[in-house]
Amino acid sequence: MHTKSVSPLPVLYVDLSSKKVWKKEITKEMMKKFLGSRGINACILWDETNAETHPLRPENVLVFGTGTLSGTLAPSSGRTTLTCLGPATGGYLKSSTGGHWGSELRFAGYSTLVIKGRSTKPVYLWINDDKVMIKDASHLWGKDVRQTTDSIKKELKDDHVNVACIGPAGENLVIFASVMFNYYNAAARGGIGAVMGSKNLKAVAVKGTSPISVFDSVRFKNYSVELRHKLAKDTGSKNLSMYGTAGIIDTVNATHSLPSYNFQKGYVEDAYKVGGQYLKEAKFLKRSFSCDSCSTACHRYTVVDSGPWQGSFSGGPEYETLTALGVGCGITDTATVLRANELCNILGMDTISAGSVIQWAMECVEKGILTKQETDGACIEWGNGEVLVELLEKIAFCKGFGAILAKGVKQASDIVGGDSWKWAVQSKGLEQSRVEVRLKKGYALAFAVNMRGPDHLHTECIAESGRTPEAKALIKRICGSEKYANPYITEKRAEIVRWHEDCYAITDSLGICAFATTLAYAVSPYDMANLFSFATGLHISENEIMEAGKRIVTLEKCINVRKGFDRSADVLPWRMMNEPVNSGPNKGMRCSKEELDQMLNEYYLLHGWDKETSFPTEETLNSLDLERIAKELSKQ
Amino acid sequence: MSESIKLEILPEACTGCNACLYACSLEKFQVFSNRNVFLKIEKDERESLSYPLSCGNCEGNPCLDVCAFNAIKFDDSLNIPNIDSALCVGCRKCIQECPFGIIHFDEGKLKANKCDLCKGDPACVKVCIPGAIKIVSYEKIGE
Repeated sequence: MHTKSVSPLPVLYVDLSSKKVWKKEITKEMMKKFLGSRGINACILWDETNAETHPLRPENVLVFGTGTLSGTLAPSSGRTTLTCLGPATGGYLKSSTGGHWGSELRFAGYSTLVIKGRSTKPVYLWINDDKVMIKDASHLWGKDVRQTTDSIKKELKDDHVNVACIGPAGENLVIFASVMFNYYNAAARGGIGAVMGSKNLKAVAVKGTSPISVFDSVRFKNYSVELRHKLAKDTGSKNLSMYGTAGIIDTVNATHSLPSYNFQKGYVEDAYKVGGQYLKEAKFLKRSFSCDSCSTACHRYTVVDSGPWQGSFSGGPEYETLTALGVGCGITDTATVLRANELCNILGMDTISAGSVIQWAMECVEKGILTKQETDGACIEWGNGEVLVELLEKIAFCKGFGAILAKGVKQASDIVGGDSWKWAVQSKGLEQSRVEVRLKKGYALAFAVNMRGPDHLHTECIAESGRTPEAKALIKRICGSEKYANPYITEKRAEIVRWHEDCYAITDSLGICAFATTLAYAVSPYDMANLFSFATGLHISENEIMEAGKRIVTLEKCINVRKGFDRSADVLPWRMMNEPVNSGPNKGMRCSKEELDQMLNEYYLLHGWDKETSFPTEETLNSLDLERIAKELSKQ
Repeated sequence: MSESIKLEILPEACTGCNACLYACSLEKFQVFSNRNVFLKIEKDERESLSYPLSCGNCEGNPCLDVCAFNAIKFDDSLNIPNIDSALCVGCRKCIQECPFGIIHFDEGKLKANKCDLCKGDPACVKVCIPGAIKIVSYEKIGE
């Protein structure tokens, strides 16, 4: 029988300027307050940066936080969160990834890796249990993700080494560069790869051989195994297992809510050709594969066997990629979209933002704001697959017109001018992910308040549509009645977003996949509290873990407040608020300023944040045990 | 007539999630590990391929022949070689010979240690939801 709780794994600090490496313990009190990964990352970001820190200067930190339950039998528990000040918004950025890298870092004996400073020349980090080496990467600079990963495995003479690296886009500080893990798992949003590139850090290779202990292994195992079977039976999870996220393309298209032609259309005749079912039927899909400890296996591996793109292969594509690089650009040629996906993965770029800037440029050309001369003579028109592929390479290497697109859609529209800002589908500087928020008020609110910009990986409130029995039951629990499982109303959206926000923060911090908790709804906050308690020996109740979720979200908000973000930043892209959906059953719908304002008022009230500024009040911060943050903020 | 079980591997169903490794390490060592366990998943991450390797699925069971002390015998009911701890002298020859590298050395007892199919109810099978590791049972007629 265990009597003591398990000590949290320490944080590994690496200062690339001074070449110093050290470890720092995480206290049990901190673990209980911030849970791990995303929560601990936010604490480190608060302490290590300030109001003046520029995302691409050496003063910024890049934090890799592994899930507290990663490397165990907890269901779908292999996720890692990367945190820093992000170049797209200038504010708080978390970007998370699946795969096996995070668990491997825990087997090496660390919960978190903090990169500080900047190396004078390209380097990579080799973490081999307690041996940590900063190695020369001059020979890797310029190489793509596939070549880099292959080279490091060969150089270290170990095929089992886990490699996180940037591609040329990260080296060239493309504002939406990604960090790629073991070839195909991406932490891609917000330009996290550019921050890594700004530090001259090409890769982090990890190998760990120490076992991981949990406090009560019998109860932890029994609970985990039971949850794994529950998750396998969940409706949402079953759909993901079959076709991955790509499986929803046909359904979304049928309801005219498939973001196409830069959100100008919601329906495309041939959209099925970029859908999960077709990928399987036409034999592009070769197999599915899992992140660590996940039985859902929603990730895919696809290959083009014939035609002009024969030989292209990569992980994915996901729903977001198929919409961003496919129908969003008016392209439904499957092989072209697969090639574009491959390029983004090997050049190290976020598929959502890359597709978004290209769609924006296509619309600029359509509306006569950009001419052929201004785009290096390229014929940037809807549906031109060759141009899509050509532009992706030009963006990654910042060549010609690609250098403008590499700045992201906000800066690019500032440069190009005219009305082009109206179809720059972004807010806070981040390109919106491909969700039709004009039809879903909860999503609209969640996207507007998201600290990193408008996307679905901070707060995904799928339940508001009530499509599965599990979703309906959850809405009843949050709002008191199933009637609120209705995405067209603004009522109770603040409550729904708040619940999902807290749940997502817990999910990320424990390293569990949000597909298990806020898509499948099979793993609840109650379950996560139990898993956390059994694993760490730090007993936490459901209420306490939800409170920790609130604390994490509020601290993240404070990071943005310190960087000067106020209520005016919590908006949706102009198109979402001003141009209605123009076809299908939801024709005429948008999220008006009035509707958003009403939801924001309710949301801030629920949070205990000031309605005028959106700043968390001192009272709220104190009630969440964030007195120090309150004091430091008040000095500003 | 006696009942017999066999651990069957269906590599095309394996998605490389490692849950079997974690279940095994917890069952046998009360910790989580992806390396020091009694089965293995060979992976080619570039092609997203994974292939579970477990005892009873190699060709010819070379560990049986290499043991000079007759400590390893084939267990007909589980269809795997079994180590008789009382006879094992810890010479490590079986460890060297195992084509999958899944026989380990118990540093405490100074003896070889391997998969025993959890005495017929393997922990790895219980967590393999895709069904890449399965137990098949059949009756041996005429014994």
